Amino acid sequence: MEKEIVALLIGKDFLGLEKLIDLLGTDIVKCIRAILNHSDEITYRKEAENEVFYRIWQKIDHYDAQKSSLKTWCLTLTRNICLDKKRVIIRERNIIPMDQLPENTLVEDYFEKENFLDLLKHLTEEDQLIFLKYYYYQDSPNDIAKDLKMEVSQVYNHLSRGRKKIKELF
Amino acid sequence: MVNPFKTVINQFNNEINNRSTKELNAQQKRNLFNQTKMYIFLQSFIEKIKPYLEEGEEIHAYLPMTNDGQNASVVGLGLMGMYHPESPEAKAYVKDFNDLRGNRLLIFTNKKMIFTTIIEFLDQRTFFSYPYSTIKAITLKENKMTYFDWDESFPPKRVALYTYTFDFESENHIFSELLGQRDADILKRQLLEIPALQTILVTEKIYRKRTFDRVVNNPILAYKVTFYFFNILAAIVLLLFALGGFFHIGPFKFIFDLSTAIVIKSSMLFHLIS
Repeated sequence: MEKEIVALLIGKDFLGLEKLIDLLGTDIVKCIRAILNHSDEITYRKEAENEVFYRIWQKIDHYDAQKSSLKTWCLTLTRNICLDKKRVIIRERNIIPMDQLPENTLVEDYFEKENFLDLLKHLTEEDQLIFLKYYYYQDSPNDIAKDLKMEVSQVYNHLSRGRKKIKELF
Repeated sequence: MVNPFKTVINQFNNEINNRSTKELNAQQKRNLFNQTKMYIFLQSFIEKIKPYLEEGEEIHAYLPMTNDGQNASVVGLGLMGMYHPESPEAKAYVKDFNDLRGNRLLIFTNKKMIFTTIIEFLDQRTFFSYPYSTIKAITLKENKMTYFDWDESFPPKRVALYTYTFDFESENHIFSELLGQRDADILKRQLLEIPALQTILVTEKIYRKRTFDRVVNNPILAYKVTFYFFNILAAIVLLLFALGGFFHIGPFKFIFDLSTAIVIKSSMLFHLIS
Protein backbone atom coordinates (compact mmCIF):
# COMPACT_ATOMS: atom_id res chain seq x y z
CA MET A 1 0.00 0.00 0.00
CA GLU A 2 2.75 2.47 1.03
CA LYS A 3 4.78 1.64 -2.06
CA GLU A 4 1.80 2.24 -4.28
CA ILE A 5 1.07 5.59 -2.61
CA VAL A 6 4.68 6.72 -2.94
CA ALA A 7 4.77 5.71 -6.62
CA LEU A 8 1.53 7.60 -7.32
CA LEU A 9 2.75 10.68 -5.47
CA ILE A 10 6.06 10.67 -7.33
CA GLY A 11 4.05 10.48 -10.55
CA LYS A 12 2.11 13.56 -9.36
CA ASP A 13 -1.15 11.65 -9.43
CA PHE A 14 -3.86 12.99 -7.11
CA LEU A 15 -5.01 9.42 -6.56
CA GLY A 16 -1.87 9.04 -4.44
CA LEU A 17 -2.94 11.99 -2.32
CA GLU A 18 -6.39 10.48 -1.88
CA LYS A 19 -4.91 7.15 -0.79
CA LEU A 20 -2.45 8.90 1.52
CA ILE A 21 -5.29 10.79 3.21
CA ASP A 22 -7.21 7.57 3.52
CA LEU A 23 -4.24 5.87 5.17
CA LEU A 24 -2.60 8.62 7.21
CA GLY A 25 -5.04 11.56 7.07
CA THR A 26 -6.30 10.98 10.60
CA ASP A 27 -2.80 10.74 12.11
CA ILE A 28 -1.65 13.90 10.33
CA VAL A 29 -4.75 15.87 11.32
CA LYS A 30 -4.45 14.65 14.93
CA CYS A 31 -0.79 15.69 15.02
CA ILE A 32 -1.71 19.17 13.71
CA ARG A 33 -4.49 19.51 16.26
CA ALA A 34 -2.21 18.38 19.08
CA ILE A 35 0.49 20.94 18.28
CA LEU A 36 -1.73 23.84 17.25
CA ASN A 37 -4.04 23.34 20.21
CA HIS A 38 -4.47 26.84 21.59
CA SER A 39 -7.57 28.85 20.84
CA ASP A 40 -5.45 31.42 18.94
CA GLU A 41 -4.06 28.69 16.73
CA ILE A 42 -7.25 26.90 15.68
CA THR A 43 -7.77 29.17 12.67
CA TYR A 44 -4.31 28.22 11.39
CA ARG A 45 -5.01 24.49 11.30
CA LYS A 46 -6.41 24.46 7.76
CA GLU A 47 -3.35 26.38 6.58
CA ALA A 48 -1.12 23.84 8.29
CA GLU A 49 -3.03 20.94 6.70
CA ASN A 50 -2.54 22.46 3.25
CA GLU A 51 1.14 23.11 3.86
CA VAL A 52 1.76 19.60 5.20
CA PHE A 53 0.23 17.84 2.22
CA TYR A 54 1.90 20.25 -0.22
CA ARG A 55 5.28 19.57 1.42
CA ILE A 56 4.67 15.81 1.19
CA TRP A 57 3.72 16.24 -2.49
CA GLN A 58 6.90 18.20 -3.16
CA LYS A 59 9.35 16.20 -1.08
CA ILE A 60 8.14 12.67 -1.72
CA ASP A 61 11.21 12.10 -3.94
CA HIS A 62 13.36 12.38 -0.82
CA TYR A 63 11.47 9.70 1.06
CA ASP A 64 13.59 6.63 1.75
CA ALA A 65 11.64 3.53 2.76
CA GLN A 66 14.86 2.02 4.19
CA LYS A 67 15.22 4.78 6.77
CA SER A 68 11.67 5.11 8.06
CA SER A 69 8.08 4.19 7.43
CA LEU A 70 5.90 6.54 5.41
CA LYS A 71 3.92 7.31 8.57
CA THR A 72 7.02 8.35 10.55
CA TRP A 73 8.31 10.45 7.64
CA CYS A 74 4.95 12.21 7.17
CA LEU A 75 4.50 12.86 10.88
CA THR A 76 8.04 14.27 11.20
CA LEU A 77 7.24 16.70 8.36
CA THR A 78 3.94 17.55 10.01
CA ARG A 79 5.55 18.26 13.38
CA ASN A 80 8.21 20.49 11.79
CA ILE A 81 5.64 22.48 9.83
CA CYS A 82 3.42 22.88 12.88
CA LEU A 83 6.32 24.04 15.03
CA ASP A 84 7.27 26.58 12.34
CA LYS A 85 3.65 27.70 12.20
CA LYS A 86 3.58 28.04 15.98
CA ARG A 87 6.64 30.26 15.78
CA VAL A 88 5.06 32.34 13.00
CA ILE A 89 1.90 32.80 15.08
CA ILE A 90 3.96 33.83 18.11
CA ARG A 91 5.84 36.38 15.97
CA GLU A 92 2.67 37.67 14.29
CA ARG A 93 0.88 38.09 17.58
CA ASN A 94 3.96 39.42 19.28
CA ILE A 95 3.62 37.04 22.22
CA ILE A 96 6.32 37.71 24.79
CA PRO A 97 8.03 34.74 26.46
CA MET A 98 7.46 34.61 30.21
CA ASP A 99 9.01 32.41 32.80
CA GLN A 100 6.25 31.23 35.07
CA LEU A 101 8.17 29.10 37.53
CA PRO A 102 8.36 30.84 40.88
CA GLU A 103 11.67 29.11 41.70
CA ASN A 104 13.29 30.55 38.58
CA THR A 105 13.33 34.18 39.60
CA LEU A 106 16.71 34.78 38.01
CA VAL A 107 16.23 36.45 34.69
CA GLU A 108 18.49 34.89 32.15
CA ASP A 109 20.01 37.11 29.48
CA TYR A 110 19.23 34.71 26.66
CA PHE A 111 15.62 34.68 27.74
CA GLU A 112 15.21 38.40 27.24
CA LYS A 113 16.73 38.36 23.80
CA GLU A 114 14.48 38.67 20.78
CA ASN A 115 16.18 35.71 19.18
CA PHE A 116 15.02 33.37 21.92
CA LEU A 117 12.54 31.96 19.40
CA ASP A 118 15.36 31.24 16.96
CA LEU A 119 17.47 29.64 19.66
CA LEU A 120 14.69 27.14 20.26
CA LYS A 121 15.33 25.68 16.80
CA HIS A 122 18.46 24.02 18.24
CA LEU A 123 16.36 21.90 20.58
CA THR A 124 14.69 18.62 19.74
CA GLU A 125 11.16 18.74 18.32
CA GLU A 126 9.68 17.66 21.63
CA ASP A 127 11.67 20.21 23.62
CA GLN A 128 10.70 22.96 21.18
CA LEU A 129 7.05 22.14 21.62
CA ILE A 130 7.32 22.09 25.41
CA PHE A 131 9.21 25.39 25.43
CA LEU A 132 6.72 27.09 23.12
CA LYS A 133 3.78 25.87 25.18
CA TYR A 134 5.40 26.73 28.48
CA TYR A 135 7.02 30.08 27.80
CA TYR A 136 4.76 31.61 25.17
CA TYR A 137 1.34 30.20 25.92
CA GLN A 138 1.79 29.93 29.66
CA ASP A 139 0.57 26.34 29.73
CA SER A 140 1.16 24.74 33.10
CA PRO A 141 3.50 21.71 33.24
CA ASN A 142 0.46 19.63 34.19
CA ASP A 143 -1.39 20.67 31.04
CA ILE A 144 1.68 20.07 28.89
CA ALA A 145 2.14 16.62 30.40
CA LYS A 146 -1.49 15.82 29.70
CA ASP A 147 -1.24 17.09 26.10
CA LEU A 148 1.92 15.20 25.32
CA LYS A 149 0.96 12.11 27.34
CA MET A 150 3.99 12.16 29.65
CA GLU A 151 4.76 12.57 33.35
CA VAL A 152 4.89 16.08 34.83
CA SER A 153 8.42 15.38 36.07
CA GLN A 154 9.45 14.66 32.48
CA VAL A 155 8.17 18.08 31.42
CA TYR A 156 10.37 19.71 34.09
CA ASN A 157 13.31 17.60 32.93
CA HIS A 158 12.81 18.71 29.33
CA LEU A 159 12.59 22.34 30.41
CA SER A 160 15.70 22.11 32.54
CA ARG A 161 17.70 20.26 29.88
CA GLY A 162 16.56 22.69 27.20
CA ARG A 163 17.48 25.73 29.27
CA LYS A 164 20.98 24.32 29.80
CA LYS A 165 21.40 23.69 26.10
CA ILE A 166 20.22 27.19 25.18
CA LYS A 167 22.57 28.66 27.76
CA GLU A 168 25.46 26.79 26.22
CA LEU A 169 24.50 28.01 22.75
CA PHE A 170 24.08 31.56 23.97
CA MET B 1 -33.31 40.08 16.90
CA VAL B 2 -31.63 37.08 15.29
CA ASN B 3 -31.70 34.00 17.49
CA PRO B 4 -28.06 32.87 17.92
CA PHE B 5 -29.05 29.49 19.43
CA LYS B 6 -28.26 27.35 16.38
CA THR B 7 -25.04 29.21 15.53
CA VAL B 8 -23.63 28.72 19.01
CA ILE B 9 -24.65 25.06 19.19
CA ASN B 10 -23.00 24.50 15.79
CA GLN B 11 -19.83 26.06 17.20
CA PHE B 12 -19.97 23.49 20.00
CA ASN B 13 -20.27 20.77 17.35
CA ASN B 14 -17.20 22.12 15.55
CA GLU B 15 -15.24 22.17 18.80
CA ILE B 16 -16.26 18.58 19.55
CA ASN B 17 -15.21 17.53 16.03
CA ASN B 18 -11.89 19.33 16.39
CA ARG B 19 -11.16 17.67 19.72
CA SER B 20 -12.25 14.25 18.56
CA THR B 21 -9.58 11.59 18.60
CA LYS B 22 -11.60 9.27 16.42
CA GLU B 23 -10.67 8.31 12.88
CA LEU B 24 -11.76 10.94 10.32
CA ASN B 25 -14.98 9.82 8.67
CA ALA B 26 -15.33 9.39 4.91
CA GLN B 27 -16.80 12.87 4.44
CA GLN B 28 -14.04 14.54 6.46
CA LYS B 29 -11.42 12.67 4.42
CA ARG B 30 -13.09 13.71 1.18
CA ASN B 31 -13.18 17.35 2.35
CA LEU B 32 -9.53 17.19 3.33
CA PHE B 33 -8.65 15.69 -0.04
CA ASN B 34 -10.56 18.33 -2.01
CA GLN B 35 -9.08 21.15 0.04
CA THR B 36 -5.46 19.97 -0.17
CA LYS B 37 -5.77 18.93 -3.81
CA MET B 38 -6.82 22.45 -4.81
CA TYR B 39 -4.08 23.98 -2.64
CA ILE B 40 -1.39 21.78 -4.22
CA PHE B 41 -2.71 22.48 -7.71
CA LEU B 42 -2.78 26.25 -7.18
CA GLN B 43 0.70 26.32 -5.66
CA SER B 44 2.11 24.59 -8.72
CA PHE B 45 -0.05 26.73 -11.02
CA ILE B 46 1.43 29.90 -9.51
CA GLU B 47 4.92 28.46 -9.97
CA LYS B 48 4.08 28.09 -13.67
CA ILE B 49 2.97 31.72 -13.90
CA LYS B 50 6.05 33.14 -12.18
CA PRO B 51 8.41 32.73 -15.18
CA TYR B 52 6.16 35.13 -17.11
CA LEU B 53 6.73 37.93 -14.64
CA GLU B 54 9.25 40.62 -15.42
CA GLU B 55 12.44 40.99 -13.45
CA GLY B 56 11.70 42.61 -10.10
CA GLU B 57 7.97 42.09 -10.52
CA GLU B 58 6.29 40.88 -7.35
CA ILE B 59 2.89 39.32 -6.83
CA HIS B 60 0.82 41.28 -4.30
CA ALA B 61 -2.51 39.46 -4.37
CA TYR B 62 -4.77 37.03 -6.16
CA LEU B 63 -8.41 37.62 -6.97
CA PRO B 64 -10.19 34.35 -7.75
CA MET B 65 -13.36 34.24 -9.81
CA THR B 66 -15.72 31.29 -10.18
CA ASN B 67 -19.12 30.34 -11.57
CA ASP B 68 -20.69 29.44 -8.29
CA GLY B 69 -20.08 32.70 -6.45
CA GLN B 70 -21.10 36.26 -7.02
CA ASN B 71 -18.97 36.78 -10.12
CA ALA B 72 -20.34 37.27 -13.59
CA SER B 73 -20.71 33.74 -14.88
CA VAL B 74 -21.59 34.66 -18.47
CA VAL B 75 -18.09 33.73 -19.68
CA GLY B 76 -17.86 30.56 -17.65
CA LEU B 77 -21.20 28.91 -18.26
CA GLY B 78 -23.20 27.68 -21.23
CA LEU B 79 -21.77 28.16 -24.72
CA MET B 80 -19.15 30.66 -23.57
CA GLY B 81 -18.01 28.25 -20.88
CA MET B 82 -17.29 25.41 -23.27
CA TYR B 83 -13.73 24.40 -23.95
CA HIS B 84 -11.91 21.52 -25.53
CA PRO B 85 -8.71 20.78 -23.63
CA GLU B 86 -5.84 19.52 -25.77
CA SER B 87 -2.76 19.21 -23.59
CA PRO B 88 -2.47 16.34 -21.07
CA GLU B 89 -2.13 18.95 -18.31
CA ALA B 90 -5.43 20.61 -19.22
CA LYS B 91 -7.16 17.25 -19.63
CA ALA B 92 -5.95 16.21 -16.17
CA TYR B 93 -7.29 19.51 -14.77
CA VAL B 94 -10.75 18.82 -16.21
CA LYS B 95 -10.68 15.31 -14.78
CA ASP B 96 -9.42 16.36 -11.35
CA PHE B 97 -11.45 19.51 -10.82
CA ASN B 98 -14.46 19.08 -13.08
CA ASP B 99 -14.04 22.59 -14.43
CA LEU B 100 -13.72 24.12 -17.88
CA ARG B 101 -13.67 27.91 -18.04
CA GLY B 102 -15.22 28.53 -14.64
CA ASN B 103 -12.13 29.16 -12.53
CA ARG B 104 -10.42 32.42 -13.42
CA LEU B 105 -7.69 34.34 -11.68
CA LEU B 106 -6.70 37.99 -11.60
CA ILE B 107 -3.21 38.55 -10.25
CA PHE B 108 -2.07 41.90 -8.90
CA THR B 109 1.65 42.56 -9.21
CA ASN B 110 3.48 45.81 -8.51
CA LYS B 111 3.43 46.57 -12.27
CA LYS B 112 0.29 45.11 -13.77
CA MET B 113 -2.79 42.95 -13.46
CA ILE B 114 -2.67 39.52 -15.09
CA PHE B 115 -5.90 37.78 -15.98
CA THR B 116 -6.08 34.16 -16.92
CA THR B 117 -8.59 31.37 -17.20
CA ILE B 118 -6.93 28.39 -15.51
CA ILE B 119 -7.60 25.88 -18.28
CA GLU B 120 -6.50 28.22 -21.06
CA PHE B 121 -3.23 28.89 -19.30
CA LEU B 122 -2.61 25.17 -18.79
CA ASP B 123 -3.41 24.45 -22.42
CA GLN B 124 -1.85 27.32 -24.34
CA ARG B 125 -0.21 29.53 -21.71
CA THR B 126 -2.75 32.24 -22.59
CA PHE B 127 -3.11 35.22 -20.28
CA PHE B 128 -3.87 38.92 -20.51
CA SER B 129 -1.59 41.60 -19.12
CA TYR B 130 -2.95 44.94 -18.05
CA PRO B 131 -0.06 47.27 -17.09
CA TYR B 132 -1.21 49.91 -14.62
CA SER B 133 0.31 52.60 -16.85
CA THR B 134 -2.28 51.82 -19.56
CA ILE B 135 -5.30 52.13 -17.26
CA LYS B 136 -6.85 55.59 -17.02
CA ALA B 137 -9.64 54.79 -14.58
CA ILE B 138 -11.03 51.89 -12.62
CA THR B 139 -14.74 51.52 -12.01
CA LEU B 140 -15.73 50.15 -8.63
CA LYS B 141 -19.43 50.57 -8.10
CA GLU B 142 -21.40 49.12 -5.22
CA ASN B 143 -24.71 47.46 -6.12
CA LYS B 144 -27.19 46.69 -3.40
CA MET B 145 -29.82 44.00 -3.58
CA THR B 146 -32.16 43.03 -0.78
CA TYR B 147 -33.96 39.81 -0.05
CA PHE B 148 -35.97 38.24 2.76
CA ASP B 149 -33.88 35.88 4.86
CA TRP B 150 -36.00 32.97 6.07
CA ASP B 151 -33.06 30.89 7.32
CA GLU B 152 -31.62 33.15 9.97
CA SER B 153 -34.72 34.87 11.29
CA PHE B 154 -38.43 34.39 11.62
CA PRO B 155 -40.40 36.44 10.66
CA PRO B 156 -38.06 36.93 7.71
CA LYS B 157 -35.85 39.97 7.80
CA ARG B 158 -34.82 42.02 4.81
CA VAL B 159 -31.11 41.47 4.26
CA ALA B 160 -28.86 43.47 1.96
CA LEU B 161 -26.50 41.74 -0.45
CA TYR B 162 -23.73 43.82 -1.93
CA THR B 163 -22.04 43.20 -5.24
CA TYR B 164 -19.50 45.40 -6.97
CA THR B 165 -19.02 46.20 -10.63
CA PHE B 166 -15.30 46.14 -11.39
CA ASP B 167 -14.38 47.47 -14.78
CA PHE B 168 -11.47 49.06 -16.58
CA GLU B 169 -10.07 49.63 -20.04
CA SER B 170 -6.46 48.87 -20.88
CA GLU B 171 -5.43 49.80 -24.42
CA ASN B 172 -7.92 47.92 -26.65
CA HIS B 173 -9.04 45.49 -23.93
CA ILE B 174 -12.02 45.88 -21.65
CA PHE B 175 -12.16 43.96 -18.39
CA SER B 176 -15.52 43.77 -16.67
CA GLU B 177 -16.49 41.61 -13.71
CA LEU B 178 -18.95 41.40 -10.89
CA LEU B 179 -17.39 40.95 -7.46
CA GLY B 180 -18.71 39.77 -4.12
CA GLN B 181 -17.94 41.53 -0.84
CA ARG B 182 -14.80 39.47 -0.11
CA ASP B 183 -13.44 39.94 -3.64
CA ALA B 184 -14.12 43.67 -3.43
CA ASP B 185 -12.21 43.84 -0.15
CA ILE B 186 -9.18 42.24 -1.84
CA LEU B 187 -9.42 44.78 -4.66
CA LYS B 188 -9.85 47.76 -2.31
CA ARG B 189 -6.79 46.68 -0.33
CA GLN B 190 -4.70 46.56 -3.53
CA LEU B 191 -5.98 49.98 -4.58
CA LEU B 192 -4.63 51.34 -1.31
CA GLU B 193 -1.41 49.34 -1.08
CA ILE B 194 0.06 49.12 -4.59
CA PRO B 195 1.74 52.46 -5.37
CA ALA B 196 1.11 52.26 -9.14
CA LEU B 197 -2.61 51.64 -8.52
CA GLN B 198 -2.90 54.59 -6.15
CA THR B 199 -2.41 57.01 -9.05
CA ILE B 200 -5.33 55.57 -11.04
CA LEU B 201 -8.70 57.28 -10.75
CA VAL B 202 -11.29 55.08 -9.03
CA THR B 203 -14.80 56.04 -10.02
CA GLU B 204 -18.37 54.78 -10.03
CA LYS B 205 -18.75 55.66 -13.70
CA ILE B 206 -17.51 53.67 -16.67
CA TYR B 207 -14.52 55.11 -18.45
CA ARG B 208 -14.09 54.37 -22.15
CA LYS B 209 -11.82 56.10 -24.61
CA ARG B 210 -14.17 55.61 -27.59
CA THR B 211 -17.78 56.79 -27.65
CA PHE B 212 -18.85 53.50 -29.25
CA ASP B 213 -17.51 51.53 -26.26
CA ARG B 214 -19.05 54.05 -23.86
CA VAL B 215 -22.49 53.05 -25.21
CA VAL B 216 -22.12 49.45 -26.36
CA ASN B 217 -19.53 48.05 -23.95
CA ASN B 218 -20.88 49.64 -20.83
CA PRO B 219 -22.16 47.17 -18.20
CA ILE B 220 -23.73 49.84 -15.99
CA LEU B 221 -25.66 51.34 -18.91
CA ALA B 222 -26.67 47.84 -20.06
CA TYR B 223 -27.96 47.05 -16.57
CA LYS B 224 -29.90 50.33 -16.39
CA VAL B 225 -31.43 49.84 -19.84
CA THR B 226 -32.48 46.28 -18.99
CA PHE B 227 -33.80 47.32 -15.60
CA TYR B 228 -35.87 50.25 -16.90
CA PHE B 229 -37.02 48.35 -20.01
CA PHE B 230 -38.52 45.49 -17.99
CA ASN B 231 -40.00 47.83 -15.39
CA ILE B 232 -41.65 49.98 -18.04
CA LEU B 233 -42.85 46.86 -19.85
CA ALA B 234 -44.39 45.53 -16.61
CA ALA B 235 -46.06 48.91 -15.98
CA ILE B 236 -47.55 48.97 -19.52
CA VAL B 237 -48.91 45.42 -19.18
CA LEU B 238 -50.48 46.27 -15.82
CA LEU B 239 -51.99 49.42 -17.30
CA LEU B 240 -53.48 47.43 -20.20
CA PHE B 241 -54.93 44.93 -17.73
CA ALA B 242 -56.42 47.82 -15.74
CA LEU B 243 -57.94 49.36 -18.88
CA GLY B 244 -59.36 45.98 -19.88
CA GLY B 245 -60.74 45.29 -16.42
CA PHE B 246 -62.17 48.65 -15.48
CA PHE B 247 -63.08 50.27 -18.81
CA HIS B 248 -63.35 47.23 -21.06
CA ILE B 249 -61.00 48.67 -23.65
CA GLY B 250 -57.61 47.63 -24.99
CA PRO B 251 -56.12 44.27 -26.03
CA PHE B 252 -56.83 42.51 -22.70
CA LYS B 253 -60.53 43.36 -22.47
CA PHE B 254 -61.49 39.80 -23.52
CA ILE B 255 -59.92 38.38 -20.36
CA PHE B 256 -62.46 40.26 -18.28
CA ASP B 257 -65.41 39.31 -20.48
CA LEU B 258 -67.12 37.01 -18.01
CA SER B 259 -70.41 36.65 -19.90
CA THR B 260 -71.36 33.36 -21.63
CA ALA B 261 -71.66 35.13 -25.02
CA ILE B 262 -68.02 34.40 -25.93
CA VAL B 263 -68.46 30.67 -25.09
CA ILE B 264 -71.65 30.44 -27.18
CA LYS B 265 -69.96 32.25 -30.06
CA SER B 266 -66.97 29.92 -30.09
CA SER B 267 -69.12 26.75 -29.80
CA MET B 268 -71.29 27.97 -32.71
CA LEU B 269 -68.19 28.53 -34.75
CA PHE B 270 -66.97 25.03 -33.89
CA HIS B 271 -70.33 23.52 -35.06
CA LEU B 272 -70.24 25.48 -38.29
CA ILE B 273 -66.74 24.22 -39.11
CA SER B 274 -67.52 20.61 -38.27
